[in-house]
Amino acid sequence: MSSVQSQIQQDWNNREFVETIASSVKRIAEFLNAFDLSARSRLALLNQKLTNLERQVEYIEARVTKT
Amino acid sequence: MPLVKRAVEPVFVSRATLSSKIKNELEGVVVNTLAGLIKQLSSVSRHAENLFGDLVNEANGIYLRTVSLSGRVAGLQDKIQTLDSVGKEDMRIEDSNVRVFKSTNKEEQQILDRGTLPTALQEVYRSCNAPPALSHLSQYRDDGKDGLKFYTNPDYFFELWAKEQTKQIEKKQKKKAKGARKKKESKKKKVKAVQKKQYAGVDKEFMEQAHLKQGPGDIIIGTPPTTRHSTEIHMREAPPAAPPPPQPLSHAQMAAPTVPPPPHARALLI
Repeated sequence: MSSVQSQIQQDWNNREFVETIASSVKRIAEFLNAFDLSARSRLALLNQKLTNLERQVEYIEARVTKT
Repeated sequence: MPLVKRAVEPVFVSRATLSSKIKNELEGVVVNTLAGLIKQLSSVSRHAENLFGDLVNEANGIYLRTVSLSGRVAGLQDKIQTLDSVGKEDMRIEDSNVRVFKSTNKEEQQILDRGTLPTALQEVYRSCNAPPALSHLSQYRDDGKDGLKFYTNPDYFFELWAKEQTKQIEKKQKKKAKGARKKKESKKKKVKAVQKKQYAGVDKEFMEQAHLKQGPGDIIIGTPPTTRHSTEIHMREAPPAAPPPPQPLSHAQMAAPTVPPPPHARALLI
């Protein structure tokens, strides 16, 4: 009986260890998704600002240059 | 059906068959589970590498655009400084040498194309089952169409859009041709006949009525037809509606006129 009890106790400990590793893998996946989303939104904002700047620079070049 | 962009595998970590040689089953299950978790970690790291690669490519594109833009701004700065050093120059828009500015609006086309698909989704599409080889049956068809296109045709919507565009273009061309024909016909109108109309100072209708109602003692308003005479040439058109003729005044009416006389007769009365 004691060996069975010790096995069960050991199994419970092992399962707890496996559960912490599985939850850590899930946290890594969640972090990667959040990072991807925020990075893409910031890059999209930068892209928009760049587009506006390019249009303004194009207009100023047209005004300053003479044909 | 939506496809998952990045799926971590294996999904079921503990589902593995145990060999019969293992004495402690509980430890065996735990070991299998740990092995599955390590495989999941490797899948996660592969997806993370792919994810960061896409982000790096996008950031690199933005960096290149920023560098080119900063170069253009530096060039503009130099130009402006040279303009200031030369002196005041009148930059007028009315100058004939200055061309009209038109910004280059780059319209993005075919955004949802296979070339723009992310690499992770391209791998998923490659791992999917191919469509059935219905193209082999196209040789037995009478209409000559491809057999696979009845099952799946990725170019269907593009071909539909192209047909609609060609129809619209044909309609516009027909309208233009019709408009051009109408203009030509309206310009080529010839004058068929010219009618000379004689004016006698007073309208013909008035003269006729005045002659009909005229008595021995009646005072006639208006000059006689022989004194004033004018002719007018105009096209053959429908005559305008004539105003009601003024009533000729008799002796009794001259003393107390009730209806005001027409304006061209007032001068004669005075």
